[in-house]
Parts: sequence; structure tokens; C-alpha cells
Amino acid sequence: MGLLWLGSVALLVGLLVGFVLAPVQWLPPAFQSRLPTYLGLALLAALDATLGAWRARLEGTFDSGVLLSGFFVNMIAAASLAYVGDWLNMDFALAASVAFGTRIFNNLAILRRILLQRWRQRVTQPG
Amino acid sequence: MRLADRWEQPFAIVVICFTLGFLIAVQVRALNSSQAPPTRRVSVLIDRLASAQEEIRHLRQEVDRLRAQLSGYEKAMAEGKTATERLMGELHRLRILAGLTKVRGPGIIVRVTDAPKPPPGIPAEGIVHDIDLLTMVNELRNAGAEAIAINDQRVVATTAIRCVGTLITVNGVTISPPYEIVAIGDPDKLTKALTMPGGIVDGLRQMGIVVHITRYSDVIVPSLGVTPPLQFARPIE
Repeated sequence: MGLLWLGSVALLVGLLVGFVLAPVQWLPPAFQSRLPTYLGLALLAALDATLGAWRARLEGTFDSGVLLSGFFVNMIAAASLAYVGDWLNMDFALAASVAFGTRIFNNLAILRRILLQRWRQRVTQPG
Repeated sequence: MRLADRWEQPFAIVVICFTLGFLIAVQVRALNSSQAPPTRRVSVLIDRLASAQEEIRHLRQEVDRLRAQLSGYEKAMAEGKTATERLMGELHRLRILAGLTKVRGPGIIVRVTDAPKPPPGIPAEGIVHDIDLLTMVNELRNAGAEAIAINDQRVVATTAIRCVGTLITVNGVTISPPYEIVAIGDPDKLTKALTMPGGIVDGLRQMGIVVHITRYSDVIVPSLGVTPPLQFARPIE
């Protein structure tokens, strides 16, 4: 339970810092207009990494190093790819969102099965 | 379990949650800021701008095309005006030739009266016949008469001069002596054409018919009273 609180507090602090700082205006206008795309991809990558971490934890193969590195590297890679795609006039953002979307749904499916299995075990064991 | 492992998980969770929150906040701010409209809308607007510019280009071309057409029409109209003027001139000339207009100009007036004393034996000799008038008209035309009238009857291409009993009709209208032939043309030429030795006037005078030729600097030839309708003649293209 301590970890959950810790996570929630960190999330809130992050939200606050983001709202207060809002480093949108510091960026060049051209980048500003494309920022939602990059940030959206980064968020997608983060969500993917988080789901992956949850799944790994349930499967017992969780590794903080893998999670952290995957989280940041994927995030930066996705945003950078979209940025480069804008330069090359190619919709890499779409490719990244498809890839991450697929992974997210995969992870969700596996999570669902694991959770369902556990719930069934918990239901059947006492009886 | 090592000590590092105990702090690894909370650290990872804190870092990840903080980053997630930060990103979400920035994203919301970026989406809400009016300075950065959503990219999709921007690309749609760019598309619209491009298509509008394309349309403007097309319309400009259309304007150029229509202006060229207009100037072409104006040119054609100017040319058509000269053509119309030429046609009007031609029409004017043809109306004179066809006897549709009253005309005036230098010319002669020929007065022909029957012989006061018919030659004995042959009374018909001293009378002016249709053939005499016809011959005179023929001579006048040959001398370049541009308009001829007999007793105010304009002589045109369809004019018939003939005897009906003892009377002469011109254009179907009966005329009676004295006959007065008005012709527009070179007065000298017209006079000479009539009075040449052995000519028509010579012949008439031998019959005792009185012929007076007077030259005028200005005579008036009336227009044709009734234009005969065209029933049969059709132009060939």
C-alpha cells in the first residue's frame, strides 16, 4: 500500500509541476504546434511501459532497470521518431502509435488473463 | 534481497509516476493553449488555404481568358463596324441602282412630243412609240446614265416600256405625251449619245417628232413607286 501512495503522490506532484511550469511557451512555435503529437506518443510509450511493468510484476519477471530504461528510451524514441518523421514528411507518429497501441492491447490481454486466473483461483480455493 | 532492491522499486515508481503526471499536464496545457492549435486542424487549414489559393489562381486565369475574349469581341465589333459601314455604302449604291431612292445630280432632260403635223400617208410615223423610248433609254444607259425616269416613272432593271393600244406604259403605269426623260449622268456624254448622226434623235426628227434635249447641272430622278415582288428568282449560294 505504501508504494501505491508513493505512486499517487508522485503523479500529483508531476501534474502540478507540469501545470505550473508548462514549458510550452519556451519552445519554438513550430515545435509548439507539433508538441501534442510528440507528447501524445511519449504518453503512449509511457502507458505501454507501465502496463508492461504491471504484467512483468504479475508474471514475476519484474525488473526496475528494464522498466525505467524501457520507459524513458521508448518515450524519447517515439517522440524523436515523430519529430524526424515531420522533417522527412513521413507519418512516423502513426507508425509509433500503431506499434504502441498493439503492444498496449497485447499487454492488456495478458493482464486480463492473469487477473482472471487469479480471481478464479481465489474464488475456488476457499470453497 | 539487497538493500538497493528495496529502494529500486519505489524509486522507479516515483520517477515513472512523476514523469507521467508531468507529461499529461504539459500535454493538456499544450492542447489548451490557443497558440498551438491541434496539428490536424492546422493541416486541414493548410489544405484549405492551398485549395483556395489554387482556386484564386484558376479564377485569375479565367479572368485573363475572359478579358482576352472580350477584347477579341471588341476587335471583331470594330471590324464589324467597318464591315457594316462598307455594307451600308454598298446598300446605298444598290438602292440607287435599284431605283429605291430619289436621286439628284447632273444630267439631261429629253422632251419628246409627237409630230405636230404627221407625215402624209403614214400617220403612225409621227407618233412616239414604245420602241423609241426604249431605244433612247438604251442609248442613255450605254452613255453611262445612272438613273433614268420617263414621266416620273423610274426606269429600273425590271421596268418594261411597251405599247398598250395607243398608249405607252412604263412600270405598268400609263404615260402620255409629251414624254419627258430625265437621266442623271455626264450631260455632254448623254447628249452626244442621243444626238449622234444616224442616232435615235436623228431618226425621230426625220419623222417630224419634236425632241428637245436640255442639259442641267442638277436634275432629280424620282424613286420607283412600287417594287415588284420577287416570286421566282432565288439566289444561288
